[in-house]
Amino acid sequence: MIYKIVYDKNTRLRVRVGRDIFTREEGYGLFETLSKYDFIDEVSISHKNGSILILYNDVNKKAEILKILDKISKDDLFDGKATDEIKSKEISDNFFMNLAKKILKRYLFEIIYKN
Amino acid sequence: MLLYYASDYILKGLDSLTSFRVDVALLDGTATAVSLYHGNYSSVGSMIFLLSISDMLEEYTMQKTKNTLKSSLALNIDNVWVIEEDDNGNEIESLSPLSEIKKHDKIRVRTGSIIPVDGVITEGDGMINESSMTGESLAVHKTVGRAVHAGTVVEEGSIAVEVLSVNDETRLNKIIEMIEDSEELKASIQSKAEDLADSIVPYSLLATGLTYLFTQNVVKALSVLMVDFSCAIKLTTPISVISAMREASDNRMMVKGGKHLEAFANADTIVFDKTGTLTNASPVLVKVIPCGKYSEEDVLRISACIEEHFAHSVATAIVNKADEEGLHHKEEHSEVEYIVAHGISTTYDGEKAIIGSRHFVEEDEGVKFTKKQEKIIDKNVEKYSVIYLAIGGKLQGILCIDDPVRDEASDVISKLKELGITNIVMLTGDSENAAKTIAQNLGITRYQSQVLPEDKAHIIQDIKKENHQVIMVGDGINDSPALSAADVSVAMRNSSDIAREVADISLLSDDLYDLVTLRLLSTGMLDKINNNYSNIVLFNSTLIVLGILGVITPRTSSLLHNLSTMLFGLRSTKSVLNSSNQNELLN
Repeated sequence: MIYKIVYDKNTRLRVRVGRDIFTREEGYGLFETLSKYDFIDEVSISHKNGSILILYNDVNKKAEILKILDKISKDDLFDGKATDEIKSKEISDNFFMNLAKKILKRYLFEIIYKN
Repeated sequence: MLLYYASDYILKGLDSLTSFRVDVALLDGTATAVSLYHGNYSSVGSMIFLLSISDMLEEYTMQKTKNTLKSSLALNIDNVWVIEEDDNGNEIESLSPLSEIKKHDKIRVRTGSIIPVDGVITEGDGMINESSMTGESLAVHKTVGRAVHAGTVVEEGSIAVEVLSVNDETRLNKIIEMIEDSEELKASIQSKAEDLADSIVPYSLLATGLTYLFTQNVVKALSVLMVDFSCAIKLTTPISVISAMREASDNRMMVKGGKHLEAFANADTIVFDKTGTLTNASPVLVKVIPCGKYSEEDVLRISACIEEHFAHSVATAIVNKADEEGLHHKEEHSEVEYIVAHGISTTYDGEKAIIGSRHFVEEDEGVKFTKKQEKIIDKNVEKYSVIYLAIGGKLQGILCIDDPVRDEASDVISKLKELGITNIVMLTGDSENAAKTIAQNLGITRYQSQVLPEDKAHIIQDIKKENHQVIMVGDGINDSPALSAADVSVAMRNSSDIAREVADISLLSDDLYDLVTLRLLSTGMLDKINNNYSNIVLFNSTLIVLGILGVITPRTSSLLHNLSTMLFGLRSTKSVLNSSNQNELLN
């Protein structure tokens, strides 16, 4: 997998592989693959912007994590299933996104109406 | 654009009108249509905006809670006993991960365990509790050729099942998908609020008509029409219930429906089954005393081998001790049979082997104890819970289980009393002296010693007959009838499958303080609903009066009403466990 490290501090690593590299379901699969490792505490994947955030518990494991990412090819991607935690996060994200859109639309409408 | 959004509410109102329903949709539709007709576009805009935010908020809270509930109902089984044939064609059982089970595999499910797959019984028979599928609490007898479903529980017996569907394909998963429409989730206060909300609508319409009749002023009539406090009541009550359930889940407690929280808040009596609830959830095997031809190691090994088939804290203690001692055991016994609440029976080395309570071994199975054995038992029975192993009709060993009272038990009981649960009851199979000492130490108001498991449900029913609202806290297979009999039941973390299945609330952490949290949460939820109700009625009645007096315009009236509805809705999502008074009780 070709990626770019966009954040790397202590035990927090964010890489970006680019938009539309994997689908939402393949993102769940990627989550399953990466979550299997004991030294990875948390994985957060966004299929929309192709970003992978990894929180790990051992500073010495960074090289190993990068090696794992290196090894993942397009053929290794598979459709996974969202865990309840991911589903819960998606529900919250959608709600706040729609709320922001609605508020913005309402005030834009108000401004247009008044002018 | 405004017309497009408004048409949705108008169409819903028309639908109610043509179906002769006088409900909130009709009121919203009328208010929207009349405001549009009078050119109050800004009022309509505000009203639609706030109504849609309220809808979003309700949908969001619903989705979050349903997601949590779905995960609580999903099967949490890692391993199953798979039946295979060895090289000689003999059947052997081995533990395998559920994820590796395929269609047409054969698995064994015994008393107290959840059936993890959909399939057909190929051997044995059992009483299957299908309440998770059918809602029927009485177990059904099933034997060879009958279908069984994932999520149901073998209450008694042992069955071999040929797997037909596993994981996502099972009927349980389909039911979980359908749970979104479940009325079971509703608290009665929620249903009452919905009925109340709809019943207010005709009065709102009547008040509007009367205002127009007496004032001949459309603006004043519209101001009344814009205030629909039924929608605030209808919105805030389910949000309060759902938020409380979500908060329970955030605190690692799975509540299977709002009505159970309501029952928990209204209860004045709590009944504890001593072992595994008031005592430590991880009892320890401290002593093994051989009494016959088998050595201490043999007694432990044989006991562990038999007990391994059943999920109970005492069984786990025996199995763990054997593991610690490095005593590996093969399946040297024949088919094991669990006699609910008494013990286990099997054949070992060609002889009948039984393990369980004294009542089971001595009275039911007729094993005679020698004077020497009696002396040993007397020495240990006051201090420990004792398990008896008999092989070939003779007592072969006793296993002393130390089951210390939890550190937090006394404090939890005193806090529950502070919170209005005045009647604290303990049921135990222990001797009178042991029970009395524990009851005095913990501040228990009522106890019953030497209780046979089958009596627990009758005791609960007797307490209910005294007009008490009862919470039952239990963990074992034998607690399930009592859990069903109570107004609301709680299963501890290390409970058997059936206890978790039957219980209305399951604790996921091993902490008795969760009961205090539940009480605070449930009473907090009811207080919030009642406060909301009073505030909504007061605020909106004020708006109506101000509208009739002409102090506020329909636009202001609509804005204030919708804004207040949204704020009441938001307030309903607020945690009830954060107030300082509650934190004080929890710390």
